[in-house]
Amino acid sequence: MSLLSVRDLHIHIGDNHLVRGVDLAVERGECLALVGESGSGKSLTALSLMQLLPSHARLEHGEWLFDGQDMRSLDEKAWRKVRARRIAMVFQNPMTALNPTMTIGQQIAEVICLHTSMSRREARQRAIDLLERLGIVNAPRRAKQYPFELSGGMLQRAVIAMAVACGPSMLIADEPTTALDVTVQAEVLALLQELCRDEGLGLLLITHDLGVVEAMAKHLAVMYAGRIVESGECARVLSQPAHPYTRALQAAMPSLGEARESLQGIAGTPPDLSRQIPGCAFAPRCPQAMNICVRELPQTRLIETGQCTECWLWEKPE
Amino acid sequence: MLRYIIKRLAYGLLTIWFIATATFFAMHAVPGDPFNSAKAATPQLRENLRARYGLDKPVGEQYLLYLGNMLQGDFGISFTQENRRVNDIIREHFPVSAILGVVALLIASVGGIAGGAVAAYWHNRLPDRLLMMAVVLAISIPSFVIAALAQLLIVQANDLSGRSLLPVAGWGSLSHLWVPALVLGLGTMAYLARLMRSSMLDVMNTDYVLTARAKGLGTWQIFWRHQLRNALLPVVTELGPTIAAITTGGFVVELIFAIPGLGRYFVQAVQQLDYTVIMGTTVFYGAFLVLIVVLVDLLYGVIDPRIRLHGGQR
Ligand SMILES: Nc1ncnc2c1ncn2[C@@H]1O[C@H](COP(=O)(O)OP(=O)(O)OP(=O)(O)O)[C@@H](O)[C@H]1O
Ligand code: SF4
Ligand SMILES: [Mg+2]
Repeated sequence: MSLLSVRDLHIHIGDNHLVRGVDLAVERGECLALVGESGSGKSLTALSLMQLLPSHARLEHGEWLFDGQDMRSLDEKAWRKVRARRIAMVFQNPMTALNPTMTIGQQIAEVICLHTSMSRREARQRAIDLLERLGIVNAPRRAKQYPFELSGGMLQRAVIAMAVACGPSMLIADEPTTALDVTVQAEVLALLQELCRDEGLGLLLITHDLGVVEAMAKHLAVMYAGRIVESGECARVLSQPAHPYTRALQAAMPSLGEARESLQGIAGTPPDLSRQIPGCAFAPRCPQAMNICVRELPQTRLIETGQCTECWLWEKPE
Repeated sequence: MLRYIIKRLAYGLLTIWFIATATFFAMHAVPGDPFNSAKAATPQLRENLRARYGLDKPVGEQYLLYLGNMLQGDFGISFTQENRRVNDIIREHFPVSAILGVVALLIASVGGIAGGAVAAYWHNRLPDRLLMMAVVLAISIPSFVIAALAQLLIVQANDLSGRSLLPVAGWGSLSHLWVPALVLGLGTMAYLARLMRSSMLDVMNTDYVLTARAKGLGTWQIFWRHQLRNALLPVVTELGPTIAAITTGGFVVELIFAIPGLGRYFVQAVQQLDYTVIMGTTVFYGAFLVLIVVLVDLLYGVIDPRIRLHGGQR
C-alpha cells in the first residue's frame, strides 16, 4: 500500500477552481516528482497535503490515506500532530523560510521540543547533531547564528534538518533548489535523495527541472491547469511521453549543452480557471487538438507504455 | 556597537547645543521682557531688575554666559518665581510629568500593540473595522477636546452614582493618574495600533510563519514566538517620535487636569516670558528626547539580531 494516496483533490480560491481533481500516490522510500508550468497548482497541492492552505481556500477531496490512516477525519488539532512529525515540508526559499530573529539552533530545537518529550537542552544538542549530519561544518557555532549569517545552501540544509528532525515518514519539497546557487543545487538534491534512501522517506518533489526529475524520481506526475495529465514511471514518461503537454514541456526544457536558440517555449497561455472547462484544458495550445477535445474531458487511461494519461489521442475509437 | 553609541551621543550633544542656541535667540527676538507686567511699576524698578538678571548686557555676552552656566549644569534663576532655581523647578516637577508620561506610554504601547494584532487577525472583519474607526477618531480629535470630554464624563458619572468615583482634576493619588494618562496616550495608542496592524499583516504573510505552521505550532505559539517580535520591529523604530509626542502632549494634559508637572510650568513660563525657565526646560526636554532616541536604537538592536551584530546598519 502507498504511503500517501489521495483521490480527486479540488482546491477553490474565490471563483477560481485552481486544482481540479488530482490523484496522487507517494511510495515509501521513493521520490515522486510533480512538474508543470508556473501557476498549474503544484504548490497549492503540496500545501493541501499538510492542510496548510490559506484560510480563504476551499479544499475538497475523495479518499485520503496516509500511512494506513484515513486523513479525512482529522481536525486542526490532530493535523498539528501530523505536521513535522509525520509529514514535513521543505520550502523554496530558505532565506525567507526561517525566522530572521531566531537562531538556527533555536528554530530546529523548537520543532523537536514540540513533538518529543526532550528537554530544551537535549533538543539543542540534537539540533546540532542534525546539522552536523546534514553536512554543516562547525555545527555548534552555526546553531548559534541567525539566518542572515548563513549562505543559502547552508540555510537550506538547516531547513532540511528542521524537516527531518522529528523523523517524519514523508517529505514534501517545493522547488527546494530554485533559490540556490547552481553549485549547491546538486548537493542539496543529493542530500534529499540520501535521506529518502536511508530513512525510507517518501518524497514529493516539486520542480521545473526535468533533468532533476530524471536523476531523482522514480515516478513522475505532470500537472497542467490543476489536473494531472500524465503520470507513471519516470523513465517511461520521459522516454515516451504520451500527452502532448508533456512533449511540449520536454521540448521547452533546455537540455545540457544545447544552444539557447533551439529553446522553444510553449505557445499560448494557460486557461482562465475562473471558468468551467468542459474538455481538455490544453486544447487551445495543443498542436493535435481535435473537435472533441474542447467539448469533453478524456478519460484517464493506462496505455501500453505503462503510464496513465488523459488525452483523446489515446482513447480507443469505438 | 560602542562606537556607534558614542557617535550617536556626540550628534545628540550637537543637537542640544542647536536647541539651546535657537531657543536663546528666539527668546530675545520676542518683543517685551518678563518685567513688562505690573510687577515693575516704575521705569527705575524695571532697570534695576534688568540689571539684576543681566538683561542689560549685550546679547552676545548674555549668550556666552548662558552657555557657560549651562555647561556646568546651571540653568539660572526664574524671573517670575522669587529666588527659585530652574534646576529645582525641573527636579521637583519633572518626576510628576515622567510618571504621567510613562503610564501613558505603557497604556499606549500595550493597547496599541494588542489592538493592532487583533485587527490584523480579523483583517477586514468586524473587529478590524471597529478598531480602525476608533483609530481614526482618536488620531483626528485633538487631545484637549478628548480631555474636556473625559472630564465631563467623570462629572456625569460622579453625579449619577452620587459619590466621587474619580477626581476630575488634580494630583496626588493613583485615582488622579488613570484618566489623564489614558487621554495623553490615546492618540499614540491609535497611531501604534495602525502601525502594528500593518506590520502584523506583513508578518502573517511571510514564509517563516508558514514554516511555523508546518512545524505543527498552534496559533498562539506562532504569535508569541514568531510573529510578535518581528511585527514589533517597525513599531519600535517609532517609539522615539512616540515618546516625543507624549512629552509634548503632556503640556496640554497637565494644564487641563491641573497636574503640577514640568509641562504646566513650561506653558506658564512661556506665557510670562520667563526666559530662564523656558530655556532651561527646553534644553532639558531636548536632552531627554535625544537620550530616548539613542535608547530606542539600542532597544532595536536587542530585538533585531541583524542590527545588533552588524553595528547599527539598517
Ligand atoms: N493565496 C492565494 N490566493 C489566490 N490565488 C492563489 C493563492 N495561491 C495561489 N494562487 C493561485 O493559484 C494558482 C496556482 O498556484 P500555485 O502556487 O499552486 O502554482 P505553482 O504550480 O506552484 O506555480 P510555480 O511553479 O510558479 O510555483 C496560481 O494561478 C495562483 O495565482
Ligand atoms: S485531449 Fe486533445 S487537446 Fe488535449 S492533449 Fe489530447 S489531443 Fe491535445
Ligand atoms: Mg509553486
